Amino acid sequence: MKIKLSRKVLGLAVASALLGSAVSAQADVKIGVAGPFSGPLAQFGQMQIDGINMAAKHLNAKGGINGEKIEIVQYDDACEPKQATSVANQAVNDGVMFIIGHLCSSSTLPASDVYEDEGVVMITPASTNPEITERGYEFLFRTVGRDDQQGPFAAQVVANTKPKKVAVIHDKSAYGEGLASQVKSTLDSLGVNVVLFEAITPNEADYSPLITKLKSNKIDAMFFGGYDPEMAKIMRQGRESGFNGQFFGGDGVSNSKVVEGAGPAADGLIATQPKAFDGDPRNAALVAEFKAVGINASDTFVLPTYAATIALAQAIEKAGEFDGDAVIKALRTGTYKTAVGNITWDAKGDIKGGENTFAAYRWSADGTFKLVD
Amino acid sequence: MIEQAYLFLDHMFNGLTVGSAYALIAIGYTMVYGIIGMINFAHGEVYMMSAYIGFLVIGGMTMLGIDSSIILLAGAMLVSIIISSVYGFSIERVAYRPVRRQNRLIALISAIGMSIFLQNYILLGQSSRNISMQPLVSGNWSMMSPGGFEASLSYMQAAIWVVTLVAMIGLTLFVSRTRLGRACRATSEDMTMASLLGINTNNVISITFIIGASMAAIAGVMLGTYYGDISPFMGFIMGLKAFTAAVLGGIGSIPGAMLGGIVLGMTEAMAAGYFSAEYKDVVSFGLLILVLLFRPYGLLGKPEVEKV
Repeated sequence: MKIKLSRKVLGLAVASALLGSAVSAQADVKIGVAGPFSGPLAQFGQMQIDGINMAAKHLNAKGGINGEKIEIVQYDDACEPKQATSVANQAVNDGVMFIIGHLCSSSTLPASDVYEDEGVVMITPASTNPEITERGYEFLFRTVGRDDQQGPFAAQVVANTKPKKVAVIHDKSAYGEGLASQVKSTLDSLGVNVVLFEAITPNEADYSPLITKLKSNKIDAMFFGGYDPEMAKIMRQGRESGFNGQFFGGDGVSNSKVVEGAGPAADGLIATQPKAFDGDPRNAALVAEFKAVGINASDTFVLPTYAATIALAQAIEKAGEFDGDAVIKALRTGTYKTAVGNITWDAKGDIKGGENTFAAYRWSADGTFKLVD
Repeated sequence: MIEQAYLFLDHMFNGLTVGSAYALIAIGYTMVYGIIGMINFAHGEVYMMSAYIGFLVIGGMTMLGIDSSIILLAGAMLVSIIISSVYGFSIERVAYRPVRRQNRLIALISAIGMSIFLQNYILLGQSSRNISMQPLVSGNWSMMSPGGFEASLSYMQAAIWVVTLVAMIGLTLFVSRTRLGRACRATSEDMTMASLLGINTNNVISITFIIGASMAAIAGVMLGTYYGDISPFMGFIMGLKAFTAAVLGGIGSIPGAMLGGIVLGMTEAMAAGYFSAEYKDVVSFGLLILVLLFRPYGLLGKPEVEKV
């Protein structure tokens, strides 16, 4: 009788242990990565995927977060606001509690409405539009600075080249227009002569009327608020028809795809972007590891995405649970050591000291870039 | 004043380049409409596919060690015209011929379906990313005005004009001088009568699609290499603009499509140059509405006589 009972107990214990492990294996923590994985800006999405996959690999090698393995789920918004909302809802339905993304400000703005309502923690490694964190949202963080910090910085870079006549052009997107107006207002206050402030329609093939305008206004410096496909076409068509001014851009144009599209015309482009951390000696091992799998860690958003994921993991561990409210509380307190430096978030979800996170780089036609002093 | 003239010249160069492409693509719309009275909404996708074919051929030839840009361009165009013609022919056989005798709406839906299919076909086969290519031909002729403004015409722009002009002259000669051209005109006037008189109208319709696709292929390869950036979605907006050009010039009329394309391209360039690039579509579509208000059959179209 006694033996029988203990057998039963043993059986139960084994069964529950099996069941328990089965349950915990299924309950891997899902982290969503949202960005443009198709369409003209897909190269940015690839940077996010490269960054987050490496972070997941490292975290899982250490046994996951709070003992849970990480599963990465991709949500493609193609940088289109409508699609961003629908993939945000899809992520919520899939039970994703944490999102690294979105990338384009115009996607982050509508998608964050969904996440805020549903209590999904979101860290964007790339969206710089100031409006994003000005809406009092609790579940929204970013690891980049804001365009009202990047804009004045970029304007100063433009002003340093002492141009006589400047054109500021944008692509009407939340990011492009926001950045361009910041640049323009700072240039105005610095006393630089901005003679042309205009929008173009993205995804068009022909920007030659703009080039003629630049030439006829004798522009010697042009700042573009927008993304690299348009910048590449403007530079290429500009050099083709004899426009010799200096081109400037923001983080949306600063990646090797711009050189691929513009060819030799990209030589000398100056672009601001979040400081590149791939040259930091502390990241040497990480950069080498990326390189071993064929990823260029100097691509704008690879390390920021990696860092955002690691910071999120640290915050979850600090909170000790996967509860959204506990995690955002953890994110707002303390400093997170990441590949892009030490990050401290303020109440709005912006990083402290964001004005120091930008740097200007000069691109060469061979696809490399150097810091502008 | 002289400055203004130089500026105008530069805008005109820009407009003529885009206009040439619109005109080439518009021919496909207008010829098909002229003969079977339907709008081939998959035509923009043929343009897109021909640009892809051009890129693949140039890539392949470069790998074989050919580096003369003229041979590359000519080779790409030749292959692209042949393959696009096959596509144009098959599109008609698969999507339009079976429904030709049905209600016109059915053919329209079939055309839209074909367009979506072709777009996704390229998406799957070539990835959703934009593909870019280094310039094949670079450099320009430029004229410096006394005030220091440089009006310039790039070699590639000039090449686009010349190729378009040659294609247009060839097409006009074909339609007006050859037996097959006469058959096309006859079929367009009255298909039943033409077939009663011994013209194989099915063949004529196939020829129409092939010519339209070849013209689109010329535009696809020239513009693709000029702008150096192609994507699976480029056909939609280009198709829409070219369709507008065809309507503007008078749909069904070949000279109308040529004129409509040039007028639309020039209007866009002038609107973007003298007002703002943001509003160029407003101006060009505004012009379309105006023309249609006063000449509902387009600039060179013939007023349709109600047949009783």
